[in-house]
Amino acid sequence: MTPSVPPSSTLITIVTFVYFGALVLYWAGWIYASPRLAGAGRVAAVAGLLGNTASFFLRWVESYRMGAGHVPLSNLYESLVIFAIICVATLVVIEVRYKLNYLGALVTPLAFFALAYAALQSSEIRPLIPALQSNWLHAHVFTAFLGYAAFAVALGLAVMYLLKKRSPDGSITSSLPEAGVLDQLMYQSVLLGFLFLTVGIITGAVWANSAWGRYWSWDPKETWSLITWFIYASLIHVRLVKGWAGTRTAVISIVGFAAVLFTWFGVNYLSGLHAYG
Amino acid sequence: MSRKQESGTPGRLVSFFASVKLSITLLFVLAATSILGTVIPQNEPARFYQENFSEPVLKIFTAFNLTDMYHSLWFTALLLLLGVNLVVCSLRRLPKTWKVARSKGAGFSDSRFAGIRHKEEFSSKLPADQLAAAAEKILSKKFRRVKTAQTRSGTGLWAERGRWSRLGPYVIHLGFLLTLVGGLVGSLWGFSGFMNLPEGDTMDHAFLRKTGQAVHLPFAIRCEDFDVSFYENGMPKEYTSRLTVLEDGKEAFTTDIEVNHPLRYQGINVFQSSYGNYLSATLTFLNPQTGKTWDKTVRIREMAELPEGAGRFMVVDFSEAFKHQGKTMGPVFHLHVFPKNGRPTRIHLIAGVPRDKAPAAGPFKVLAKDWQQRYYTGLQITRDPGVGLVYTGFALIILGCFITFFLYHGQVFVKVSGNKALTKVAVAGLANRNQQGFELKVRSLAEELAEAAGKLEKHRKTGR
Ligand code: HEM
Repeated sequence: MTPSVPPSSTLITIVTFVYFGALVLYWAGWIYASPRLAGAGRVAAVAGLLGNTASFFLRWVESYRMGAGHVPLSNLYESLVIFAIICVATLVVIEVRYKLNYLGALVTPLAFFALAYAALQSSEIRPLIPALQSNWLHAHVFTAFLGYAAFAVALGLAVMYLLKKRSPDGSITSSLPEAGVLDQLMYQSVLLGFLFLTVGIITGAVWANSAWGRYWSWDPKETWSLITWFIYASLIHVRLVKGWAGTRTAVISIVGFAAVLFTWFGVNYLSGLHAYG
Repeated sequence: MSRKQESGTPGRLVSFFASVKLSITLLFVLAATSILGTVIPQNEPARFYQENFSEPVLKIFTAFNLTDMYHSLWFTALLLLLGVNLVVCSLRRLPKTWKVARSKGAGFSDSRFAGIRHKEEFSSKLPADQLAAAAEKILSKKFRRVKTAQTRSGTGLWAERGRWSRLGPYVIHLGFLLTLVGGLVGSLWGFSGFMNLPEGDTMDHAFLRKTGQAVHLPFAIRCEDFDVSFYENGMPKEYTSRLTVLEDGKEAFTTDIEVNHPLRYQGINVFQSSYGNYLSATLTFLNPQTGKTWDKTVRIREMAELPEGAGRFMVVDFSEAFKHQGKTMGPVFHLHVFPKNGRPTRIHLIAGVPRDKAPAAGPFKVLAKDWQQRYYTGLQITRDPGVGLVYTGFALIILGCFITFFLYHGQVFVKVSGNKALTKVAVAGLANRNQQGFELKVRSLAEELAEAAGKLEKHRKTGR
């Protein structure tokens, strides 16, 4: 069987290269402490984001043209595409709003790797099997990936924080904002991610209840999303109640993102209901 | 955050159950142990474990119930402990927080004002009372509650926002608790079963998934029709069952269910879960001695009686195109026969063989008269009285997260003081969360005040 390659995935291939360009520009900007280079990186990231978003809608249209119409949020390939979109969109919003220059150096690689990994997946548009025909599913995947992307940005900020903390005036860290600002932004990204992860888990439970009559069945993916939820809930508690900040919360944030990655990919090596991200 | 240490054993016990240390420990322990159940396959048949794990490992599995760990005693105990932790912590804290949330507002006091380190200051030539009035006007526009107080050293203004948001964490905690309780209620008083219902048949009981035990339902279900539709590429598009609900033998209503569109009636949920087909065959038995014949309609893999009480038999398999020594034989039934007198036998019944070639089933000759493949619909039948609680809990968790993350209790203190020649204004902010964000707001508020004062000053000068 040779699945046809939809035009939207050709567009994704182009976007992958654009993100790679953005990545290079951001890194060059960061290493040479040049806001202008990083700014060029941001322009490339925005261009990639436009193409990325266009491909999402194009794929949606294509699915209707094939008589298998559905929101493209139903398999691993599509989850990687939406992750890249949300990641870069969040990045751009935070950079502009908080006047950061180099956050992209740590976030564009994630978007790039997501799409490069997507290239290894089948991009064939397939109709939805009965269990997946639910609006709860779309809400579930979308919010879960909003959460993942916010956690990805938090990861970038946590790494920046740790670098800045180690040598505030090092060659690559002197151009970063103050450690305190990075710490606060990291925490706020975690809150955003936690809210969406919560909504993602809950919409998933509601969906499972309408499809199978059980809102929770401890399948590996569900369990891992709960593990992730517990880790970030701990982070929020130590911060709010114990007043932890800085290095310790940055480390928990990194651990939390490892759990996100495992929930997303690792679980595929275990057996369960969820075949994709 | 220091707290008075309770003395005595009960006090210390309460302290232990109320501590965040316990909750964080529990969250980590739950996270860590949950991993086990994603690595060790859960709820497989016993044979599976015997084949894949060694004896000592199996002993550990049995000791800690690791093959069904999420329902094990120790895991349930951890969850309950988390629940107790939440209840005790919230009950202990709530009265104080509730008082703060309900109070009319503390208002301005010199000592509270002095306690805030960061202050924005400016001075003006306007008289203090005029400045205070201007400040009150600006504050009233931005805050619901504003209070003015005269202190020994001048006029103090105080305003606040989002006091109720202090209850946010309690909303989350309550939601989480309701979810836990709902889960418990469901596991105690609910059930999850299945029913494989052939088209045209009626059933009033389901079988439990875990034990296979039959559960009687408050109504009976008849499957009128089962249908699978396919996409062009052959993937299944939809499974639909047309079901009639019967109460006391009378038809109540007929409805279609699909995956994701279950039937919910009298607290029972009926989900489209699977389907299959089975064989229904009519066999003719001939007694060669008397020449008498009987027709028997049976289902595959269901024990049936031979005529004349001669024993029992079962159709164990059926193949549409049976191959024997390279030749295709056509439809073939595989029967096990258990005669009353004599040993069990296995026979192959080829459809359409002439009477004289028909195989023997006990004292009879047997022939295939008619057969058809019929669908059955696989229904998942559940009752879960905890779902309402769980969903309420879900809603509260989301609401509570929103309140806790994006709202905060912010208080602004403005102090206007000075002598006739120069009035000094100091603005300070206090927030229970998002202190930095609130400081930015306070700074822009101070700038607005200064600007308004500047304008008034100019006005006064030109007015004179
Ligand atoms: C997963 C279950 C949860 C448990 C077992 C739990 C438990 C606790 C405990 C024991 C405290 C300490 C109360 C005290 O110091 O007296 C606490 C405080 C707090 N929790 Fe949770 N919590 C849970 C979920 C959450 C979540 C998801 C959030 C989300 C933000 C949250 C937010 C808070 C906040 C803000 C406080 C501080 C309350 C205050 O200072 O008044 N909790 N929690």
